[in-house]
Formats: sequence, C-alpha cells, structure tokens
Amino acid sequence: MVPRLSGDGLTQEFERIFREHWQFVYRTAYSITGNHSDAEDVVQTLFLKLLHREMPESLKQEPKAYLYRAAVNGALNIVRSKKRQNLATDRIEHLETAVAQSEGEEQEAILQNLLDSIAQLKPRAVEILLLRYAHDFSDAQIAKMLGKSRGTIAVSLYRARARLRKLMLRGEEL
Amino acid sequence: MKRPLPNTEEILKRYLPRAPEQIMEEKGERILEHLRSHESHPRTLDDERPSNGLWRLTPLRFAVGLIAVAIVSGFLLKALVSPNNLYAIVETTDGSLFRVAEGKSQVARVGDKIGADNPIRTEAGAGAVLKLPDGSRIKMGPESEVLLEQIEDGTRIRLNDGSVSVTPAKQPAGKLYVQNREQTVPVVGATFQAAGTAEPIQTPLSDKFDVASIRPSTPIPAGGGARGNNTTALGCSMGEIQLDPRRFVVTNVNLYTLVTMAYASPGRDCQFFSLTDSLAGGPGWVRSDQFDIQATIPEGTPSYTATQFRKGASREVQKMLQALLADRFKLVLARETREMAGFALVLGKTKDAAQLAQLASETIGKFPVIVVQPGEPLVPRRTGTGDGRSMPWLLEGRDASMKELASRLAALVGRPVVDHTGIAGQFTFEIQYEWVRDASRDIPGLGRPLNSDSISSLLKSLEEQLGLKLEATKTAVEVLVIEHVEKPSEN
Repeated sequence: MVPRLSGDGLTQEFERIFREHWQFVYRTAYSITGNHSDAEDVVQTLFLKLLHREMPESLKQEPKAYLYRAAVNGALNIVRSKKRQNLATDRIEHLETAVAQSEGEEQEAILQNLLDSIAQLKPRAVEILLLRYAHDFSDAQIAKMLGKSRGTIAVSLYRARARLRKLMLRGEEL
Repeated sequence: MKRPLPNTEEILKRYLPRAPEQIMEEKGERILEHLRSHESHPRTLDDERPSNGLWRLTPLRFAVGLIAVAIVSGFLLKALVSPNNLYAIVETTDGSLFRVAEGKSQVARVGDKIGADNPIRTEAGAGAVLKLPDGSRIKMGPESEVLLEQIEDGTRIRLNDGSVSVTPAKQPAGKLYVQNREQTVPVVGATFQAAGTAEPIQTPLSDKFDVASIRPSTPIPAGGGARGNNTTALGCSMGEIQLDPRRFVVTNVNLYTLVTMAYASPGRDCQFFSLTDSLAGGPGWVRSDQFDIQATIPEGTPSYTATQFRKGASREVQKMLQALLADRFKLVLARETREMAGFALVLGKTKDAAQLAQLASETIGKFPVIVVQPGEPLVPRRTGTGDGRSMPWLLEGRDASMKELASRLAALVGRPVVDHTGIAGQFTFEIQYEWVRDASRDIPGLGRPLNSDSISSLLKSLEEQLGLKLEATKTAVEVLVIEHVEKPSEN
C-alpha cells in the first residue's frame, strides 16, 4: 500500500500525516541543522520518499516516532555531509543570529561546539536529547514515544549528556 | 581568562536552536504544494513493479510488444554493426563538467561516455577534453556547450555556447564539422578553433522568472531567526533561500552573493569567488545592502532543491536569476582572465603516478581519526585533541584526482591552486597536518582559509607524506567584473 490513492492528488491519509507531523519534523531538523533551508530540505525529502514507497508498517503504527527518527537521521546526514564538504556556511545562520543577540565570541564558540558535537553523537542519543531539550518532553513522554522504560530513558539521557560534554570539551580545545 | 564550559544541560537549554514559529507558519503549505506537484508526476514503486493487471496479455498488448521488440532490436543491431556509433569519452576535465539528460544536469567525470544528442557543458573557469572513437579530440573552453550529432558523412559538433578547439584524428573515421549559431564549418588542418560567445557576457532573455519582486530587506526582530546584517567577513550573505518547483525566494542577501549564486558552479560558490577575488568591481552597496527577492518559476522548469541551487547545480534557475539581475539591477558583467598570485601543485620527491600511489597507500591508517565516514572525497577531519596550541587534522582523499586535491587545497590556503603534476588517475590518502591556533578565531570547517602557521604545516605534510609541493606562481583566473549596476526600484 502506498500513502496515496490515485493520481489526482495526495491521499487524505498522506495529507493528514503531513499536517499532523510536519512541524515536529521541521523543529527537529532545525535543532540539528541550525538553519531553515536545511530543515525544509529534510521535511521535503522525508515526505517525498514516503510518496514514492510503500508506507512502512512502523509509520502506520507510530507515525510520530517513525517520522521523528527519520528527521533526526536526515538532518544528521545533511550536517555531516556538509561538514565533510567543508560547507558550513548555512549552519552558521543560527550561530550568527545568536552571536548578534549575545554579542559574545564565547557564545559563538559554544554554539558552534554544540552543533558540531551533536553531529558526532549517535542518532539514538540525538533523539533523546532533542526530545528533552528541543521539544521539552518529560522522561515519561520520551519513554512512551521511543517504546522504552523511564529508567532506560533516564540512563540514556545521562549518558547522552555525558558523551556530549566529552565531545564539547574536546571541541573546546580548538 | 577563558571560563570553564558551562553545565551541559544549561548549554542545551540555552543554545539548542529552536525554529521560530512565525517563520515556520508559511512553510508547511509550500512544502505540501511541492509534494502535490511531485504527485502530479508520480513515480512510485507501484509504477516500477509489474502488477498482474498490467501484464495480462491482450492481443493489442501483444502487438505493441512485438513492435517494441522490433524497434529495440533495430537499435541494438545498428549499434552493433555501425562502426560510427557516435560517442565521446571524457578524457580530462579542469573544473566542472555536466551532461544534460532528460532535462537534468549530471556531473560528467573522466572516463564517462557521452552519447550523441546529449549536450555536455563546462562551467565558468572549467575546461574539458572529449575524445571521439577515432581519436579526434574536442577541447572545450569555459562555459561551453557542445552536442555531438551523427551525420551522413561523419560527425557534427554543435557548439551551442562558448568555444571549442578540435584536433582531428590522424586517420579520421569520417568528416568533422563544427556548427555554431551562424554556420557549419568543416574541420580541416591540425587544429580548428571556434567560438560561440563574445564579451561582455550576454544574458539570455529566454530564461526568465514569470513574475519577480525585489525589495530592500527589512531587519527581522530579535528572535526571528535571521538578523539584519548577516554578511560574513568574506562578503557572503547568510540569508535564507527557498526553492520549490514554482517559487524562488531569497531573503537578506546582498547583491554580491546574488551574483555569485547566479554564476556559481559546483566548487565555485560565494566563498570561492570571495577567496579568489573572482568577482570584482561595483559600488560599496553591492556588498552592504541586502535584498529580498520573490519570484515565480515558469512551469516546466526542472525542479531543484535549495541545496542544489546553493551548490550552483541548478542551471535554469541560475539563468533566470542572471536575467533578473540584468533586468532589475541593470547589471552588466564582463568576463576577464586575470593573473593572480596562486599556487601550482607540482611534483616533489614523487616523480610519477606509481610512486604517488605507493606513498598514498603508506598514509592510510597511519593516523587516528575521530570521525570516520568512509568513501567521502577530500575531507579535512580532526584527528586528536592536540596540546591546546595546535591540533592534528587530516586531509583525506578517497579516489581523488590531483585536480580535486588542487581544488581542495585552494580552499584551505585561500588562493587558486592549479594542478601541474601531470599525474592522471585517482588516489586514496590521508595527510595529517597541524591546525595552529591563533588570535584570529580561525576555526577550521567554517569555509575560511587556514592561518599561515597551519598552511605551513599543511604544505610540509603534503611534501613529506605525498611527495607533492605547492609552488607560488601566477595563475590565470576567470574573473567576473561588475561594469555597471543600479539599485532596483521597488515594485
């Protein structure tokens, strides 16, 4: 089954999924990429892929969780790819915004370091950190969404923060 | 004195980017519209998989099938028996080369086979040599487009744009003709040169946005996700680009960046133009004043993403932007070739490809790598934490040609680098060099060239580890010069 019914437009089901979740996907991507163009690319690419393939079972059952994971992976791919190509220009958009507001070199360095370090985390760690700090989910909400126990989430969150800090300390030496 | 790193939780709460609501609002409908436009030309797995219904044999389908088999067989037979089955092999490229197939541009690489009726194009500053089956060679100049056509008594090279130099084979398989806009000329003698365009740059009038509005940017209030003056030290604006099949929107972008976007090609983005001074002239406001553009793209234009546009890989949209700048900013550009200080990548202790391959193989796995993404070309990576004053970085090449290495080095040293090694082929290597900290906030990875101490380390490593050197030289760089420009009137 594909998420459209005929050639005369998107199906109601597809549109419903899009309308319900695109903002969540966008916010997720923006928190990783730090700029609107890339976040928009992530949303567009993700839903285009869904248009061109059979709807996965996990998407039908847990659309939000499925799309969230896909958004994290898509955004990380973009950031890592740009990093590999030394194309950091667009990622600086948010960074420079923050710099203008804070007028501090130190803040610039911290934000750059944060984004670089997040890009080096495993996707699962990024998923948990973003649910907590970008989407303000509680441990219980994260556990429900990711299908884990609250205890597991608390431990994973602690480890993700510790790993992030380690990466940021390394990055700070720059 | 530097303060210790704040608590991680505090950093995440304070710095993690959050998408501003007011900027997001308009995006959903636009993305949905884009998805709908794709849906009107759907290509799904259902289309690719034969369903039972599709393959139910009817007399009509049987007849159609027979005809199709006959046509395909005819083509195959012709291809097999015809000694003049026309194609060209990309022998060398110097910069970006594209072939156009089914309305889409694809990068063409050395060794690629270019069939007849597939236009092939070089970008600004690039060149290429195509070799025909009989050994004839077509040398393409910058921004040239050629199309090979099989004709009764030989081959016709249609020069749609730019210039070519044709060297016929000693024993040609047939006659060679070059056709430009005015005439078709037979190729006689050792080398034949033809040109299609003249200076100053002619902006095509056929590629235009349907409707376009330009206005000076208004600073977005704090928290709006962008800022009034977002221009980097290189002069490039960090404004936002939105591109979907029918809509082109840029906000908070100066004219300098707009021109570089319009004339960009892969590897030649705004940073490249700025680092190599490849866009010159114009009054101060070209770099200081920012503009918002909203335009409607004509129906039927190939669809590109904002990323493709930023990379200079959206020829049709770029041509429309060129036309818009010529029309509304009264922009007149001229193309010049200027000599400027640069470097030549030359042989040091390495004398040939075999030696280079040997040295390159010895670099693999020699240094620890923090982040490994195998299979990616020429990527600088950090390889250690360093001693506070410096930090080891790795310039990694995966199946990289010497031209690609030269291009990468150019971005790192901030000057044009031309490949004078004479070595063909692709190499995998890992050069470790030291990024040396200084007071200039020169952070690797932000598209800025390295500082002088880091460049010294890079050059030393290049010589020690790969046996290659960079020699200071004057190099010819194609420069766009702004000859005339006016501020646009608001509409």
